[in-house]
Amino acid sequence: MLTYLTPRKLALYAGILFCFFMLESPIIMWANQIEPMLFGMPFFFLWNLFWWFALTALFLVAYLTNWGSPTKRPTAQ
Amino acid sequence: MTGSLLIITAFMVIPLLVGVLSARQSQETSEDFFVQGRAMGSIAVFFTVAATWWSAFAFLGSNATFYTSGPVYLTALAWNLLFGFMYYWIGKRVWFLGKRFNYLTPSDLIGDFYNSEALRITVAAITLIFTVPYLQIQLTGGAYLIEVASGGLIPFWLAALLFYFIIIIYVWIGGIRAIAWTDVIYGALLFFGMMYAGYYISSHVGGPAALFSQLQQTSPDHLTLPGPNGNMGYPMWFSLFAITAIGAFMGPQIWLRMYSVKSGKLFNLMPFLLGLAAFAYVGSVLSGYSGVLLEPNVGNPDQILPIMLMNYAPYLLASLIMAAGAAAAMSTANSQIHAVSTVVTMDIYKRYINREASQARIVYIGRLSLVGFSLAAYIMALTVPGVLVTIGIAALAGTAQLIIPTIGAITWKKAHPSAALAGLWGGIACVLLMTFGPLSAPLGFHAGIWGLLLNAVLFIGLSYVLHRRDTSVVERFTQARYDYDAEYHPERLPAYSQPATSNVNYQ
Repeated sequence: MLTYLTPRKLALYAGILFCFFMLESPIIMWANQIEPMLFGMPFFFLWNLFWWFALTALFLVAYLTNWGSPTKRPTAQ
Repeated sequence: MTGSLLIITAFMVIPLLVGVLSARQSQETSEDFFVQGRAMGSIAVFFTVAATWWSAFAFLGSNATFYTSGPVYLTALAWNLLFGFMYYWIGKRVWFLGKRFNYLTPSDLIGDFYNSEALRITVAAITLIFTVPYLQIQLTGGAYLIEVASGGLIPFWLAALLFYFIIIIYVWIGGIRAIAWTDVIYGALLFFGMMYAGYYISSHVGGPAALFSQLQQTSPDHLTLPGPNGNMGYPMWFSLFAITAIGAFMGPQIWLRMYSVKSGKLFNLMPFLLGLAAFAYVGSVLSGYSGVLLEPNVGNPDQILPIMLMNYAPYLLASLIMAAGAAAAMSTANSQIHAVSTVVTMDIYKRYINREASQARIVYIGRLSLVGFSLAAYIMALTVPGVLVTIGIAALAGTAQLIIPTIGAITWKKAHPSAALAGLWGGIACVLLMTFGPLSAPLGFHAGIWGLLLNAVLFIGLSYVLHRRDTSVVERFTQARYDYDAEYHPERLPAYSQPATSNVNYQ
């Protein structure tokens, strides 16, 4: 049924969903703590910054790979 | 004082000059005035989307929320990413359909796909009613900043009046082109202002690490959910994430910024750019938390940033950063005023009052609408009190409801007009009853979340039960979706069981 999900597209969207899950699912309450302070920051802040960075980087990868879709064939014009 | 007045004056005059310059490229057509002839380039698109999306809500509201309620506003990192993702996934499809069928407003797309006048009117009403309060908070936020930056010399009522006077002039002259050009300046100012304000103010408590360390000793509740007041836990964390991103994305001002884009390729890059820009919120974390240590007893939390700037930064620097905050407010307000005037002109005037209106007449009505809505927002700013974030979320919860019929229109041929209408009315009723009426939102989630849930259930359930008879409309959209996939996602073509005829040869 989902034959249009190429492996690259599947990996990208799974990664995006996973990052959103780490940022917005109830799992965030597990990270909701001050200790350990890392780089002078509470753990909760570092958790958010880490997953924000991961997802932003993933969006860059998505752009560079045309969001997992094949680029248009020359004959298509 | 003279220096800060000069900065305020420059802040007022520069957009006027930009408006005049941009008007030299304008044509007197509705498509040029409202969506720049669908030919907006990449730099202008990024800055106008980002500056429109980031508002007084972000510049002042973020500091105020960190100051009063702890880290719940940190969910903004994720909502920026969600906004960016929607701009790619939904926005690109909306852009494609807009270009093909000449849409200018949200009602154009939704009304056309569902082939329903009732739905068209409902969508126009939602966009108008729920955009005005959000517009009001831009005016309030911008006027706060100008009032404080001028040392009280320009009172709130006058600051708000000046603010809107400037917007009306340059939008009147240059339409969306003037807005996009000024947003490049405003956007740069806004991100610089947020970051530098945080960096500078936190240096007064020894820098970021010392700031967090002191907060851990004196007010640890500020560093974890549910915050010092105990009311900002996970439900609000998730509600802010979903409602803010979806509500802002469905605002008519962002719809125009989907229709205006020249090339579809730009949508692919926007999630990354908009996500990256979210780093500016680190500045708000530092400013808001520095306020907890330096100015713990501020009455109106929305004024915490201007107050700290005045007390701890050199006067000129404080004025410059506050001008950046006013830029955040103005860059959203100009887009909103322009967008609601588009809705009034195209969805009400042209469709129901004067179908044969000339291009010049349409543009003229659009300009008059600018003045009317500016006046309404100005009066509300002077008479309706409230905290920026509270008003903002209530308004966003309303526009967020449009996401359900929109996704239906761009992806699902079974989507039924009655289902979309029932879903929208159900969702809006839920938001209003839980925000202003006798019901309270269960489990701590915002009324907008429950509205979206009810909206989705009604929409999907009724669409499965009911069947559309207007097959020609459904086929027209199926063909458009096929062509979209042929152009951008050729791997999806096998999913069409009966391929629509297409002039693009991928088979």
